[in-house]
Amino acid sequence: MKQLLLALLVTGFAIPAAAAPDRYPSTTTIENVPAQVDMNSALAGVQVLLPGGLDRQTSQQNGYAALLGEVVSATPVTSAGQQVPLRSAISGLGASLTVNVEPENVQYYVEGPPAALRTALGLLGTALAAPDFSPATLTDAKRALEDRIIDADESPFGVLSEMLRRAYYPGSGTGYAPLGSRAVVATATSAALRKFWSDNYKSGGASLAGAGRVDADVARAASAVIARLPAGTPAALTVQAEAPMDPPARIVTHRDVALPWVGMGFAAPAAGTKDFAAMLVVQAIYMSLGRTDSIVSQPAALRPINAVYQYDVRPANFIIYSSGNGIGAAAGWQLVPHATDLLDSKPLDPAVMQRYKTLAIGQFVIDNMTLEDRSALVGWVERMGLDPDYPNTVLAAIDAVTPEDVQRVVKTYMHKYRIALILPRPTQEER
Amino acid sequence: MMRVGRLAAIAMAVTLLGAALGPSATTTKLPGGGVSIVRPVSGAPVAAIELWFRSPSIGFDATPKPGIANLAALTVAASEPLTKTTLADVVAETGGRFGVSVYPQTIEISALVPSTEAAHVLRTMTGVYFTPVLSEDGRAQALAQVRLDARLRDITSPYDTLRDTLFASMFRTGPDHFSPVDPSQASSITLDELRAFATRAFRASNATIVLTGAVDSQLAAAAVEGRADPGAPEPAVDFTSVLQTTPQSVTRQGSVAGFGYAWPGPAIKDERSATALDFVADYLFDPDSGLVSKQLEHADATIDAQYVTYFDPGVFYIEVTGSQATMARAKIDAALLAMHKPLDEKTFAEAVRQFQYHVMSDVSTPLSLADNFGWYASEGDAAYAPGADLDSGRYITSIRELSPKIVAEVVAKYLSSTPTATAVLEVHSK
Repeated sequence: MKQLLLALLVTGFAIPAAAAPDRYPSTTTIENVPAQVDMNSALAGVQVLLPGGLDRQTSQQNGYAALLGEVVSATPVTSAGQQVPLRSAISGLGASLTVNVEPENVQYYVEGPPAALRTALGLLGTALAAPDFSPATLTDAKRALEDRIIDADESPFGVLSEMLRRAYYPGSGTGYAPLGSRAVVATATSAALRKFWSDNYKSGGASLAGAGRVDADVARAASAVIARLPAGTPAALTVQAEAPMDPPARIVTHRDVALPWVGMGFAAPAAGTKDFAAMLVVQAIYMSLGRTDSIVSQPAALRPINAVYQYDVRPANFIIYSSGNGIGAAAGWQLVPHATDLLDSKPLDPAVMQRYKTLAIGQFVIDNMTLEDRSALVGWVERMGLDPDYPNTVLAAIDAVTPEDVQRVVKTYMHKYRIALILPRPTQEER
Repeated sequence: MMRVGRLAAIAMAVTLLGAALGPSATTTKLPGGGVSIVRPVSGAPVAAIELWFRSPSIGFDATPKPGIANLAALTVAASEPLTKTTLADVVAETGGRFGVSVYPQTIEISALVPSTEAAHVLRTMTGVYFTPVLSEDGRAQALAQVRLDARLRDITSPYDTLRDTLFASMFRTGPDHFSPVDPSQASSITLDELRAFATRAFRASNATIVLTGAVDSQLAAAAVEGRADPGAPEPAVDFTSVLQTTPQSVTRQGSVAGFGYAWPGPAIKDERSATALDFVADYLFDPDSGLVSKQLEHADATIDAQYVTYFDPGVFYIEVTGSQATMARAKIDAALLAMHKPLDEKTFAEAVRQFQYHVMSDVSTPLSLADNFGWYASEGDAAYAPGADLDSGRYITSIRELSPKIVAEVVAKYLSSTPTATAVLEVHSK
């Protein structure tokens, strides 16, 4: 196995050298809204990014961010002369609303043809400025969220990720599961949720981002959403991370899984730093360890090894995980520390580096492809204070990564980690 | 001279066919026969590359060989070509995704890659399939893939079991009667049989290349020409699937409970009726906004329904899985019956807006756009593909021409209260 890995890392494959990467549309600012504009798209998408993400929750509020998103979505608004829940009203216009709770914010994403999108943004502005905290709406919101939490709890990666991130961000909600705790959601009161809204949903901390057929009218409608929020700026937050130690700490839980799952959590460089592009290449290298003999591409759940670089949060983190099938497979878990040792011991051959740079570029652009992805990318760049053209800067930076850069990043980040284990629940006989 | 002649022919094809598809897409006759459709989309620097072949999934022989098209397509992808690197590896090395999908009468080979790698991948894909190499090792890998996929389908895709059952019940014979990925006879299909199938099916003259995303019309030139067709034409293939004449009802065992309905629908050339049935599937069964879906929001019952636009006939199916699937049946029956009467104007207008958005959203990524172009081209009408021309084009026009009365008439004509096929899925006892 080690020889195979060595061969893979040393020889690579003979492929033509990659040409200069093509580019995303440059981000332009329309009526103060940054956007990747494609006027030959039929649709436009706008992200309204608000404080009120995971980092704003205490342990007693673990789930408020997602519950508030459900309340806003269920808030009655007037559409065609009738009072209907916001999500249905937007759907009836021929558009859509998606709410994503992220570590540092909550993202309300609205997509549709420009005319429908403008009206949808107006309705969203109404609901965000005055969510309906009535018992009826709160009950509907809790029920909808509870269904989603139950589904999310069945994802072993979601569980692993939460275990590792909670340990990495102690004392902060940043590491909580995006949808929160069922117990907390069940007992949340209207008054408590209203306070969470008034503490966080303020115009001072909000921002916008777009992609697709964004014109000046769409941008103005988006700006109006923020203008209707209560004035003020939420208090600034600084999240501290607790770096992993050597030897690695182990976190174990038991779930209804057929086979064990294992994850390793690492510290990782922030976006905008000189190590960011090299870390994307390192991610591509570890991902390549999960390649299987499958003829067609397999979803992440069927790959023996996966790597996730969470760079939309400060400090960033990096997780390598393996499904039950992968731990014992030939291309299995032991490849991870072997790869780290090899990458640490000497710089990669330049031809092999080219292969992994091509992989890293491919993974980045395919992960950031849809209108929703691209508008979130624009919003992330804005929030991190990076150059608006940073998505293209990243592609060029990956192309410029050297073998020494990879070696340095591996030495800096890949030797200290935490281990999370999900083990099958003991059977009646085993108890 | 020959080269110039070909270029002239291509230029003429671009003018004529390009006009038919609207200004957003370019259609070109390829030197080796077949057609390329190029639809640039600005946005992320990614390209979707697809190769479609029209061939029966059960092969060309009088005796059906269920699954042969799937096994042959996978064997070609897995076999080591003259260039030594398999197509699957070439795509994986770009960070891209590679897939093989087989339908009753079509085969789709797809790749999603960074745009910088598009020409390389297209050249490799066409080289591999237009001059197919099939090895025993490739066949063995393909067989393993077929078995793995069958196990996964059984566990994770009860819909597929239902759909296969519905199609098998509704069609008495022909490719539509059989599951395109049937694993039951795969191991008995020999390498020689696979080679014979691949030689006939995977020809440039039988191909449609679809290129979307960050691509330009020159990209199609990266496709290899392919081998020349043999002088004598091969015997015509009877692709016809024969419908049952009386309603069929069957029960199968599966990993979850469920049931399904299916009806034959209009041919692709009846655009108004086909679009009306697409609308009905969206209005009633869209997972987020569908009328019936919302009624079952908190129930353990998941619906999958759509109108599949085939050359002739199309198929409308509804499938429900979950422990509360039976509860859904009465709601579905009532909703379908109600659709025999025209919707009120306000409800209809809102439903059309939703439908139009869903259609545009469904073709908003390069891969989904290519899937639609490839499908409609292979079924006989690329210009009717959703996304053919931004927010206009024939599909969008046909949506705008729908009315409550037209929809009710189409439902009454095609979705009778006695479906042509009914399938029930019972949880198998261990």
